[in-house]
Amino acid sequence: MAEIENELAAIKGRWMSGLAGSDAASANWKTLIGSGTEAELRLLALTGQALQIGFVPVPSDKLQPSRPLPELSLPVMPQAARHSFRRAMADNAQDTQITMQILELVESRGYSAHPFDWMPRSSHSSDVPALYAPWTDWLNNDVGKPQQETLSEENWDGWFPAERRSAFTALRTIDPDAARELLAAKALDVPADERLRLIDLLSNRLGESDIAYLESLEKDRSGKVKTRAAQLLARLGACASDAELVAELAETLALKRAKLLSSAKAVIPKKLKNNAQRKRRLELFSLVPLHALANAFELTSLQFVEGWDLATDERCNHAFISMVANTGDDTVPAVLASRIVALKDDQYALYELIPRLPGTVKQQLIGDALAIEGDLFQLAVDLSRPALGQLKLESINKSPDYKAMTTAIAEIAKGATNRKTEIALAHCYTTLGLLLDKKGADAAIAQVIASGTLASDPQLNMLQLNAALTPSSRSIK
Amino acid sequence: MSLSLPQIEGIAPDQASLKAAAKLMKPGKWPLRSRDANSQLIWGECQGSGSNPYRVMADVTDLGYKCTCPSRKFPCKHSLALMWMYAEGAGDFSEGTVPDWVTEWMGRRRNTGTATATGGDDNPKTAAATKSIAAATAAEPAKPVDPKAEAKKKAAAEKRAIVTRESVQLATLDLEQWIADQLRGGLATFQSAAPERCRRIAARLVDAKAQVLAGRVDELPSRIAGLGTEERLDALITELGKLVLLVRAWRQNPDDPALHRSVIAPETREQILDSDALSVSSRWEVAGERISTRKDGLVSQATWLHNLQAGEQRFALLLDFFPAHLGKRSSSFTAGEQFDATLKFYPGPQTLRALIAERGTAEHGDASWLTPSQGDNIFSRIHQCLDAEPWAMTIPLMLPAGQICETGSGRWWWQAKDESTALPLTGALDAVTRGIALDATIGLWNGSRLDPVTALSNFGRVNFG
Repeated sequence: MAEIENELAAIKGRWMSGLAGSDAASANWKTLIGSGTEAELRLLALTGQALQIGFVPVPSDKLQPSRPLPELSLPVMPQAARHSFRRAMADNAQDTQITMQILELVESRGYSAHPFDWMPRSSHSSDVPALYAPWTDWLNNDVGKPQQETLSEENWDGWFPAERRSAFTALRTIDPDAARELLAAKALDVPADERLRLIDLLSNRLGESDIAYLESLEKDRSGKVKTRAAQLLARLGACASDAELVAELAETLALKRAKLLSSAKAVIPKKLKNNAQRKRRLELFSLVPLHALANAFELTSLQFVEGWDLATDERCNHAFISMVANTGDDTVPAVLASRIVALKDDQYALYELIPRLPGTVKQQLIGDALAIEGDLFQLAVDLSRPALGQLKLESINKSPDYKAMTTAIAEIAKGATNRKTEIALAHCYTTLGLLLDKKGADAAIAQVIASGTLASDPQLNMLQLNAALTPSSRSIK
Repeated sequence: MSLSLPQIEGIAPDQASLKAAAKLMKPGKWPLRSRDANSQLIWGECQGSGSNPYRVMADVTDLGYKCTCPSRKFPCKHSLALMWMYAEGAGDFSEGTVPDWVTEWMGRRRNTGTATATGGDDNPKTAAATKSIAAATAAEPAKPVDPKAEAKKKAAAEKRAIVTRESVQLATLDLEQWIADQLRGGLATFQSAAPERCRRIAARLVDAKAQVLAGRVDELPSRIAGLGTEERLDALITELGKLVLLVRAWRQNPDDPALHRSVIAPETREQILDSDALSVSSRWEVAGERISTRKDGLVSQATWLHNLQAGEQRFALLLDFFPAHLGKRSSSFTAGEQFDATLKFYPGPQTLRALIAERGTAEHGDASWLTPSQGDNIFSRIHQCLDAEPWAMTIPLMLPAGQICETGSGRWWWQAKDESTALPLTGALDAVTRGIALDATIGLWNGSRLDPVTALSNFGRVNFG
């Protein structure tokens, strides 16, 4: 083989510089090719075939297998659903929140996305459902190897960061003290951003035993970590507060009797003289913990939240809600959320509280949220996350928005055109696609089609995706 | 929803289009005619003059339409024929689920605003006056057969064939001389001037009526340029050697259909369908499609099919060409689509290029691949093909389980799971594609690189490219 290789190399070398290749051919070949121009053409045909047949491609270096893409804990969705999934994702490509909601819908049916249809990106790494942690780590080229055992101090460094966070969440749920002690031992070994994400996870099953560790974070190098630790301490009522700031904020609020013959108290934002004062008050809400402010009025946090007047100053409401979400103890966010939903107005203010609400409270609030007219089921979607795609049609079809939707569909079927209504309908179909169970989605599609809309209408993409996702054995029951 | 014939007359661009549509009103030309449950959308597949069928779809509510044919008339004869058939017999359209290709079109329409329903003449009254379905369907008076003229025509065709053969004969000698000149001038010099030199000789080949050969020579520089510097010389020698073999084989046997197809022109669709060429009835899966714009201004649309049932004929190629100036043409098939069909293969030592002779209306998507075993020798399959047709440019391969590997120089290779075989890949693959485990892969081997088309993987069926 080496002989023919050398011969071919010599022939090729001569052709490169315009010399006769036949001069370098072996005696055997020379007898076959003859001489002159004809010899060169015959040699060319022979050489070409020899290069095709006589050699197999050999890499110049050792072949390194590509890093295998990890398989997730849930199977990829059925082929039939992939097309609808791609369309739904494409429709909402600019809206990361809806993108994540679609992933949650798929997951709650017991599936994962196909890697050719969707992969996490660095721009939304913090929002990506934990299911995709192995892909996040794989994309970030994080070193280490997947672990099967429980997270511990010994195997801490062997975990990919995203998967480690998932494991830490699991440990915190099972054994909060062990999780905190592990974090105390290893937190300083990870970058500030990652440390912040891990400390955030302490909010799960936060308790008095965490106080000492959270207080120690006052000396952390990262300002964000310090702030977050202070907020967690405030939720436990253990955060030292600046008395001057508390007094300054309290000065801008008034405590009044709620009703004439009632002993209940109402906390009302005072009317301030100018924008500078109003701006300063909003700033103070982010600097003062709830329990300290309540103390200033000799109220408990719960009494303060129950007494807060939601009807006076909208901007003040938002600042107050943020304060409750960040520094209120575990009981008060639910109370405030119920009050806001009962108002059936300005429900957007509720969003900050949702992550603090226990699952049972969120379930209770969904019914109230569906009764809010004009919300187009958006709040119900937010309250249902991450267990989307579970709501029965019967629990939704009495709601005012559903009735309005049915009326609008009928009007459009009769030929009425109203761009505003069409946009609202498209939004309804999307939120319903995220909310309903498969049976409900099938029924909703049938209803919309019966009124004259095409089954292939892109507005129905989310509902069609929902309908294509038959729950697997791994779905949320 | 119903359609009326005056509506169709109204949107027809001209009387000639209606006349052409009337000729397509034969169920045999339409392997697929369907409508959705509400009878708002209709779609079908029309077997035109090419190898790939045209996909036609229409929205009955506003007379929107779309066809994958390259016609510049809107609506084209296929769209008109589909709507016309529906207007005359909606019952002949089977009720079905709206396929993805129709849904995608609908999505684009909705996003860009509803298409105008009126094509051609906006005024229905004048339209009806100038375009008439009745006139389009009127039987044309039979032209009297003039035996003298027929004989003259036949003699002229024979004379043309002889002239063409002589002209191509000289052109192939000219090409050989040109190749010898390139060797004498040095391949190092040739490599740097290849596009210009190939263009010139290709033009001479076109003048001599060796159209297909000209296209191959014209494309040579771009095929070579796609390779690594160190591979180019070998690829150039191989390709020039193949040209020598091809033209000599043709001169030896100019009547051989496969050689005629490789040098002058392919047979017409009718010639193949009327011949006793190899016919294979089976269930086929669309492996993928490769569309490329050639230097001569033609776009080549190659649809690769693979046989899902046991048999010698593992692959089929539906090949069409159309002028690039007609714009982007939509795909005729969706990768992964499976269908029953009888294919007729163009004759030759390697039966690969085919036409759909008959297509079943039912579409299936559940047949599995006939995957090769790990021990199969890929190179013996390549050698087998080259033995039969030493000038072959593309060899489809079904590869066993494998993985994507990287060399230190940043090139990507497919490697068999047992590491017995490795093939370099064309182009770049994204990280996700490289990370999947391949249970079986279909790819196109061009003598230097493998172009992966589709694969079965641990994440299901995946398409490349």
